[in-house]
Amino acid sequence: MMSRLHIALVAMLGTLGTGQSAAAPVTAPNAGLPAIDAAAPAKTETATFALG
Amino acid sequence: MIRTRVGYAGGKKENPTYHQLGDHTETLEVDYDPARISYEKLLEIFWEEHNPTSTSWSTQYKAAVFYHGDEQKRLALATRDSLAARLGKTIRTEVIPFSRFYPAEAYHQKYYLRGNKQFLKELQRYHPQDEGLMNSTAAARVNGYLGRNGTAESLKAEIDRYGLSESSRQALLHEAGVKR
Repeated sequence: MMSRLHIALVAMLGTLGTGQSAAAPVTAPNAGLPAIDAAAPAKTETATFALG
Repeated sequence: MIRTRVGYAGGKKENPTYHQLGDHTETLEVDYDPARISYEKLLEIFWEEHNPTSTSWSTQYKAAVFYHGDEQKRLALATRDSLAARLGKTIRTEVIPFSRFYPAEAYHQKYYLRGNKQFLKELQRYHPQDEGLMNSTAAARVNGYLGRNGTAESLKAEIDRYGLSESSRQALLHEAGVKR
């Protein structure tokens, strides 16, 4: 089992940045993916942490 | 947040596993859109969510910022020093350069989602491979809300984009709504 701190923080971070406009497409332009996955931005940055 | 994952970093052992971790540290990693959330905000959360003054008992469980590039390094050191001054204590959390991240085994990823077979099964229809599920924004979101994070309002704003069935949508909204 991974550290509970990591499990909890990963879950919390997963909801950050939610609340995108309701006008955003509901259906994926390429079938087979949830719209939010299909619309993931190409340009992202990465952050890496260890909580002990 | 675009993607979340847990894994191992900081060591030299090739292809570590949970039971053969070698010199690595348990780590979490996120891909984020800098237009929607800043690295400063992530650091703020990181410093709040652990005790940076405690001494690590092992490499596996040490606390660290693994910075990607000079700007992350500058911000990590600046916030660390600011926290040390505010607390008047030595900060034990390390600030070290990122080298390589190894994702943990699939059963460690999306802990709350994996504990709910209904949601897991639905998202696995889109992402039958473990790597796809690990990198899914929808999976990260559902995992977070099942872990009782976020707000009902933010969930309502985008739940239509998670690819869930109507019954799962209602279940997740209920999950988010009953906690507040």
